[in-house]
Amino acid sequence: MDLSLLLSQLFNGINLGLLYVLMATGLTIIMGTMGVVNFSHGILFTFGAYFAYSIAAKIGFWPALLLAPVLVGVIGMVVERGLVQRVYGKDPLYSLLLTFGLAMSLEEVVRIGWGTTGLPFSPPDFLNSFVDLKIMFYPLYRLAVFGVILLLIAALWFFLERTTMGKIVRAGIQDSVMVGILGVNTKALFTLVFGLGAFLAGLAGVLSAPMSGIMPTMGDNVVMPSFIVIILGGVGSFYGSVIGGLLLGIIVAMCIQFVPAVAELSMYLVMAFVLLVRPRGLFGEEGLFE
Amino acid sequence: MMWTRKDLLRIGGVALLFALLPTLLPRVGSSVPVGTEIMIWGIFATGYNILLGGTGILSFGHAAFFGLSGYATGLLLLKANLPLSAAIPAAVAMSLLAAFLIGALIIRKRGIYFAMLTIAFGQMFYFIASQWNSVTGGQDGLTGFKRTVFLGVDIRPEVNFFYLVLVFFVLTLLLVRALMSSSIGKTLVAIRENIHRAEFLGIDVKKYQHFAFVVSATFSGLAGSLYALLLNFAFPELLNWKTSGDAVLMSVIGGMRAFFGPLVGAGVFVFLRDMISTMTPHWALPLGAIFVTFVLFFQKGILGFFERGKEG
Repeated sequence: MDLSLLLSQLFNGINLGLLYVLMATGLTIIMGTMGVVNFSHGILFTFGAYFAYSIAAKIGFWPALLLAPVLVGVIGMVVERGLVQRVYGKDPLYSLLLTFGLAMSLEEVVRIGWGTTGLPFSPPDFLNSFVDLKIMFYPLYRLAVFGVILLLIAALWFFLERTTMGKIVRAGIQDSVMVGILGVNTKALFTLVFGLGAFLAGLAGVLSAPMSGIMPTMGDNVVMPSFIVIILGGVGSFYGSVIGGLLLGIIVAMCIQFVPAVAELSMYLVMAFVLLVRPRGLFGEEGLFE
Repeated sequence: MMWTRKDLLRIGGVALLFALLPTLLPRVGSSVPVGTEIMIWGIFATGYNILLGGTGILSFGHAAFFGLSGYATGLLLLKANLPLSAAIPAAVAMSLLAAFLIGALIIRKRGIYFAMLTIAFGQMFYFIASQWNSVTGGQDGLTGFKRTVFLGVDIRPEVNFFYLVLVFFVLTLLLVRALMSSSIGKTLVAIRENIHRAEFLGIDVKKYQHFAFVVSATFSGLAGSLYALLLNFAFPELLNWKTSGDAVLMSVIGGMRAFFGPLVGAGVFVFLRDMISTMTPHWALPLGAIFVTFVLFFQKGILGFFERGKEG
């Protein structure tokens, strides 16, 4: 077998997987803390890409990389404060339907604002080249994405494991009612968590734009894998979504290369397998949602 | 007796009302297939609500059973040359079987996690439909089959097909009503109201939930088969999780605790979608906003709003 082909596909898989990690981490923290399956996560991803497109056209790629996710994060916080917060404590069905209806409307907003057809998006010039890795050439932009996401995952790890705020978030995943009783302002905590999740989704959107182009339905293609990553890794688990995301990215990339017929299907097969063998996911806690 | 006199009067009234639609609809600028479509979504949503409103389980994957049966109907007509009277039951049986297998795998999961699993499994079917070009026609959908004769009745004209669907529609209402009034239905409601108490009473909760999942999916299958015949076409979006979302929304808009709620929701959904889409291509924007409004302010749905407190 051709080693460079295998290796470049492995890299592509990690690349894809890291995007899943960004999406799944936000989803899983929101799900763990608030019990909300955020159906608008995909559209937030899309917004990230489109905001970046418009900002990059005006003032360049670098401000876009920073501003677009922040903007999406703010939208997330506004949505949480204005809408999602009203249905906490009610049947989880309502938050789900709320974000479903919202996603429906927002996707149309994208179509009205930027048109229904896809738009091109090129990486900044100096990243738009290939690097010689001795056994293969690899796009520099993708390597840069590796770096950015890995850095971000490290920062997230630090936030969750080493700061007081992160400790509160983790406690919230365990039992948000108890956290409230202990005197934490859970209202603010929820807004923060939702905003953080939205920020991560927006950033994933920006980063993926130069790799796959942008279109109004682009969010759909990453939301489903992110759900599967959560099932794979276990609900509410940060490590689960990191390992699960990478694993799924690599599996999908390998299937695209070697068994293209089942490329999309492969992740569902993985999911079914995990459910049969280890129903709570790799890092899921026993009893949570079982 | 499986139905009370009141049940029969109400269902009879609905049947009569719908029977008049083929004469009424063209006069108000609409057309017969719109009525057919409302009944098909009515079958889908009323059956689906056995699970959601009746048992308290949220599934976002029933479009898979809807679409599976739609494709199966088309393929059985096209490739196996079966008569319609065999193709429809066979297609519905496939949905039943699929729901049984998937249900067995995931029914132990609870709440939103269960909902997420149903989406994921539903999307699996969606991908198969959209990528298995040689069998399903891929993204372009499955064409080439036509509804012809059902048990000696020519159902090619829209009006004739309307009345065939009306028969299935009334049967659905009767069956679902009978199920929910039976001891099984009462057990499902008991599980919805308090799952732990039901368990302590010795009820095999998972078995009943699995049953509700399979039965509701069977009605999704019936609706899907009829829908494919209405359009003479099956396409991947039938299986998309967003179609499942539509069924959930219909139940919630109409009122998932009222027996006729999902049907009212289906009518309102089709009506609003058709009306708004004649005004703007961006119909999803106001429609989504309407849903959000319902979820925030009218959580009991239209019927729940009028029949305060009463349970259907």
